[in-house]
Amino acid sequence: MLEVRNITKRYGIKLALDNVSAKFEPGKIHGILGPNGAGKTTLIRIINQIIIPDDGGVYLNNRLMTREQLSSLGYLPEERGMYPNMTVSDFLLFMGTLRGLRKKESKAALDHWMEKFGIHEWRGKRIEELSKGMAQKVQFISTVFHNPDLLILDEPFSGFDPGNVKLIRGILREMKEEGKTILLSTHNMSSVEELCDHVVLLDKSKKILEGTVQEVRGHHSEKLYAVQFSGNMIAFATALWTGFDLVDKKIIGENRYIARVRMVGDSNFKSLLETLVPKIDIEGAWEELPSMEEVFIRETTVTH
Amino acid sequence: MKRIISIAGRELKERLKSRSFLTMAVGGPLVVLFILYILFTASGGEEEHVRVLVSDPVETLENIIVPDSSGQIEYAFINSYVEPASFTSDPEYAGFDALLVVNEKVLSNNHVFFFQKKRLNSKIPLRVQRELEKRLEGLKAKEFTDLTLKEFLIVKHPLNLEVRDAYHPEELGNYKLAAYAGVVFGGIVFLFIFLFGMTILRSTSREKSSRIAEVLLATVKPGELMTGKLLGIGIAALIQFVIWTILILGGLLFFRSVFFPDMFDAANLIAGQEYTPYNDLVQLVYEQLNFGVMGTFFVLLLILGYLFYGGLFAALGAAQGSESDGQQFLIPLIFLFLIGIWSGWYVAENPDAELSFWLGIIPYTSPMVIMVNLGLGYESGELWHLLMAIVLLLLGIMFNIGIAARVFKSALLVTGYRLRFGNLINWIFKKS
Repeated sequence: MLEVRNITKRYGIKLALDNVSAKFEPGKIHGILGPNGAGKTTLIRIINQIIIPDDGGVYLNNRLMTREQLSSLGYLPEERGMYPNMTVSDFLLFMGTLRGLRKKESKAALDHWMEKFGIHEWRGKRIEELSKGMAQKVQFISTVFHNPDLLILDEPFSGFDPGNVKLIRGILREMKEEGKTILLSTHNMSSVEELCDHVVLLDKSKKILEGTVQEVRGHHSEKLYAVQFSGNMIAFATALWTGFDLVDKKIIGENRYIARVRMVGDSNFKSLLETLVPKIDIEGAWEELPSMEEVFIRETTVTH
Repeated sequence: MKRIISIAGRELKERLKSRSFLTMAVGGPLVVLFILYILFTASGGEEEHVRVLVSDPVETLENIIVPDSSGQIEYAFINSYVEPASFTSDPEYAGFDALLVVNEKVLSNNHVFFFQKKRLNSKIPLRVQRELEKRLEGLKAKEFTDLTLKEFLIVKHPLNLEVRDAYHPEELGNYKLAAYAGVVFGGIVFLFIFLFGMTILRSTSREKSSRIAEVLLATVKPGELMTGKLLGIGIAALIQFVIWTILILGGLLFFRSVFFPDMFDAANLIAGQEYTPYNDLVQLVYEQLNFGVMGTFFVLLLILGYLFYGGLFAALGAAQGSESDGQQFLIPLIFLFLIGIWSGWYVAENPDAELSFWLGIIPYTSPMVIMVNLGLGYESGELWHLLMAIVLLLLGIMFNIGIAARVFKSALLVTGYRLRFGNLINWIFKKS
């Protein structure tokens, strides 16, 4: 398990990270979220050992992470960089060698990823000849080329069309199933909801929130429930006379509705169902949690 | 180490594939050979064929002047007075390059005029003077003495004052010219260091601005990246140098066999006879320079000088806020190179000055001055100078690379600023 413990980092008088700790379990996708300037890139660079923290450390399986372990790390920085004069295959083979792959392993990896992305014909092309999207693909491949155990991706979906976003999400899920630890820094909250098992939210150099996506969203619960039913809308509204607020409703068919109800006082989901069951035919009911985007905005706005 | 080799390999491959590398590898030696050819031939002027019309109205010379064996100067006699104006305008004289006017009292007044239609090589009038003098001496001996010409020549035999080095009396040669050969060798060393130093600077700066540096630093240490870069580009420089050496040496051999064949004609050397007098540079290049020693130190100083300056170029490349930023910080580096080249000239002119000693051991100038001193010749008692210069250069390399590594490490990922001197100081003294 990867763990950052009490990380503090200053750039001159500016505090970039203030006593940040977090745990990243293997076999999960972890979101590192936060507004610009929150300290995400600094945290990522500290995990990568590109920069050294003033205090605290990065631990892998309860031992301080060493530079040698970096060869099992794949890193995709937000600002992409490659050697424009190199061909796609030369660049990937070079990155493979740097990360400790043997020539034979590198060639096998090259074939595997070219096949997976269907880009065999690009092998001999120079990177400067590729379109932005193509170059992004090559950069992503270079990050996962050596089958790393720890993957750190900073805005991995930027520059990709929806088809490729789907492809990359699929690859990340596969890697998660293989037990890899994946850290994802992104502002794309739909990706976070769809992919991440666990998130760490940073703001103003501090960790302000951590947990599973459900926990984080649950933490911001507004006690808002949706009920899908068939029956009389007036009967539904009348039943909610005390203890509940009808927020809004949506007609989904003849005498079929989805209504959103907020709990008031001590009311809860159980009492809501007990109130409604005698009056209408309930087809479904669930809690309406705030989206990650709403959580993000609330959390970072509250602290500003 | 494997990672350093991979980085070095990538750099080397990129250099070898670049068109500018190939252009310089072939074009550079050709330019040098062309310049050498011009210097070999132009200053000697041996190729020029000159026809001289001798106006000798009273036949004082008896229509005889003996030219040297080169056949470069051809004399024709006319026993009437020729005016310079008619010499230039009369078609009869169109085939002549110069007019030598010998007056009837030449044996007593020793005065002649030499009119040239175009500016001839400066050695031509001197040779005409020498050959005419010889002829007049013969005539004077006949007219004013009882000596035979042979006896007169024994009396007249000029004194040969041969200048030699007191420490190496057996050695022939022009020491100043040899010292300047050292300046040229040192200059080539500095040229290579500067050109490939700029390659390091540009490569580092490009990696920084393209952000590949961040990807690399997530795998390799900054020191490994810098070392790999220095190594790869350094090997490219050495390959370039070897190509230069092969082509230039091949060119010199070609020149010798085609343009100066008689110089090494054993018959000429054994007989000690006059042979075509090639200029001092030709003699220096083919007879005096010890290419083995000079070549060995040339390579050694190229490597050491490159490592000494290379780190500074890498640090400057890493320190630039953008690819176009930090150009002003090149000026001090260029200034150091100019001082290096000046120091070569200074030592060639003043080999025994105290400053020459210091310039010979200070690492910023020693790669140049050592080459000059090798041209001049180290005395056996001065070998410690050479040793000390090499040791100081090695210490300088460690110091410079240490400083450069600090700047490289701190600056490579910092962007969005304009480089100031204060930044460099901060990075150098920043706690790691």
